[in-house]
Amino acid sequence: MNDQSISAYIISVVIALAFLLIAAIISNLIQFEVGSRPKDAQKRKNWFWILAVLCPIVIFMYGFLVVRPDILVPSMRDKYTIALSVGAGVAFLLYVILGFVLSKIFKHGKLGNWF
Amino acid sequence: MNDKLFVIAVGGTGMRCLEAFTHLCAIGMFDNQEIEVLTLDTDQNNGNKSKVENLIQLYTRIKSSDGNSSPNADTFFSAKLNLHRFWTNYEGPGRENYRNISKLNTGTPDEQEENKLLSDLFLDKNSVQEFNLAHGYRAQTHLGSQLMYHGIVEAARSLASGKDVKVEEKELETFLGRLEKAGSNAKVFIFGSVFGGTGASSIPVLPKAFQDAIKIRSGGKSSLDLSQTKFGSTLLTEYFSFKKPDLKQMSTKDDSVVADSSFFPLNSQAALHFYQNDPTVQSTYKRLYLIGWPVESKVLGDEKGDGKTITGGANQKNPCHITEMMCACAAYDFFASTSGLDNPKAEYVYKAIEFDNGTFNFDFNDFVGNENKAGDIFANRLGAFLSFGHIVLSRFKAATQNSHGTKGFIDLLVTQKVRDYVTISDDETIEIDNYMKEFAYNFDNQKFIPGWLYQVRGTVSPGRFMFNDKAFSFTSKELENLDVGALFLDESHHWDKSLISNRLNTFTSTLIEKGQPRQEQKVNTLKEKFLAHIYNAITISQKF
Repeated sequence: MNDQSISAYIISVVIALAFLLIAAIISNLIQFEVGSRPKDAQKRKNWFWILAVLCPIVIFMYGFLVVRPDILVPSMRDKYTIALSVGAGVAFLLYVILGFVLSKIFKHGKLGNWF
Repeated sequence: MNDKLFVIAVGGTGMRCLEAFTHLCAIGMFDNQEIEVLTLDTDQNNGNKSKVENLIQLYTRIKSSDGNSSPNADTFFSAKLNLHRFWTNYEGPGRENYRNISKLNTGTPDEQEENKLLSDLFLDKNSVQEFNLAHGYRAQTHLGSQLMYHGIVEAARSLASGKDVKVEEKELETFLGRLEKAGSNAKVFIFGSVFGGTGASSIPVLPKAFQDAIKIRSGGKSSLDLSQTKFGSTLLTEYFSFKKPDLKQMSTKDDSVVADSSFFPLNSQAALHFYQNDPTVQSTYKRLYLIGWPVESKVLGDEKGDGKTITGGANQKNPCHITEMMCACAAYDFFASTSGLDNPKAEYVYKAIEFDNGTFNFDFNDFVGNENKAGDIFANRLGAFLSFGHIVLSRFKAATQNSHGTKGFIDLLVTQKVRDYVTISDDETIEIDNYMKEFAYNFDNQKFIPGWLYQVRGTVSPGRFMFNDKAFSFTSKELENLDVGALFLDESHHWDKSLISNRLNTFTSTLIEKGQPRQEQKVNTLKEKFLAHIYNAITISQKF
């Protein structure tokens, strides 16, 4: 595995964790609604899945538009693209799995609304 | 405390005082107590009586649907109330009026003549002896005292004989049995007015009537030691008036006597003179609370509009007044007293309230004092119950749109995966909603219907009444946007909020994380646990 591929995986993991943090912050900022038709729990769930979808897209776009043009060797560029794609997929899975774990750890809290 | 508590409500005013007392029980002012409640009236169909009896039955069902509730501590609905109902029967042939019930026309001619002369000496022949007793004693206390004593003793004789025992006599027997069993541990508080009819007639004779009834029922084997059993009562003077009865209404024999509220101040004055000097009252009561309304009495309207003065029956449903709440608080004081009740003669107590610019101003301590932090406890529990009411009635729209209500709390907890209360049925949550409507308010087709606390506050307004004015909002829009965590005048008891969290958000977090019932609250049924959970979360939020 070359340096570019490793950087693609590192970027993927970092961005996945950052998105998870953002999802947690947004969920906590959404107030509990004490009313006859509360929508707060659904809002938290929606934001979690919106960020889940955005996470691999952002990783791929970042790598493809920012990092990839600087790789001059075509074969290395192709390997980086493959690593970026795998990394985006792994990041999505990591985001969902960690989100699930957090949701179960804080099941009575706002993060519990994710699952 | 080993005291066994008994509460007796007599007459229409007594029933409304009992209503206030029931609400004090609902907010949680009588921890660890099982209280025997007796409603006593001549008028089985009286609107105030049926209202408070329905309220107590609702209270009991809220604690437990199958009757297996128990006294709790430091929570809503903490006291267990056992309702007993007794009414003197003035229906049917030979029982409609004094002349018939006293059998003036029986016996030998000489006996008849003597009885008639004696009756005519004390009771006006053409009015007092003739009016229909089914609507009470109509401010004729000299007649009422005699008949109330007679009614209780008659029931005791029926119970002793065991023949044709009526349902109300059985309920009286249960009450008397528990009073007898409690003996010197019994604390009995009697609610009634001194200016009207039934209550004013009964307060002086009830201790003696119960003593004699217990003796008769047991065939002389048992009695009630009036020097040991602690009786207390309110001497509640006039605080409302109503339209003077017209001659047309008084032209019938049944209505030949109608209470005239213009005589209420005079009745009160005479009654106070009597209570101050009567040796029987002085020896049978331990403490008497003087309660009055020293400003212009509120005139009760005739909503039916037929021009008749309501003498009783189902139509007698008068609005609630702060003096009745003070009577309920007098009962709290009496029950909470650990000293001063062993004196051989009755103690007469009173207090004064701040009066400024033509209005009274009430703080929490004015109701219950602050001995053993009673004022703080009262503020905490009344404030918590009012916040709970606003959330159920307006946020969860039980009153404003007749939906969700208490079930909204259960759904909210389920959303956060707290499933402890999912087996509480919709019907059971509706009963809690209905109680809150009685306590605070309701809407009937957009029309605001004030409940007990709002009615009480209405008698003080624009004076200060413990909470800030917004706590008593009454339009659906204001109520739906009301900040339920900021009802107190003292901001230190407002629920916490921050830049990123409003008060309800903070409260909900507390509800989920810290509200679970504690062992010392002694809650057993699921509904008791649920109510304790809500109570705990609000109490923590109020920072008491």
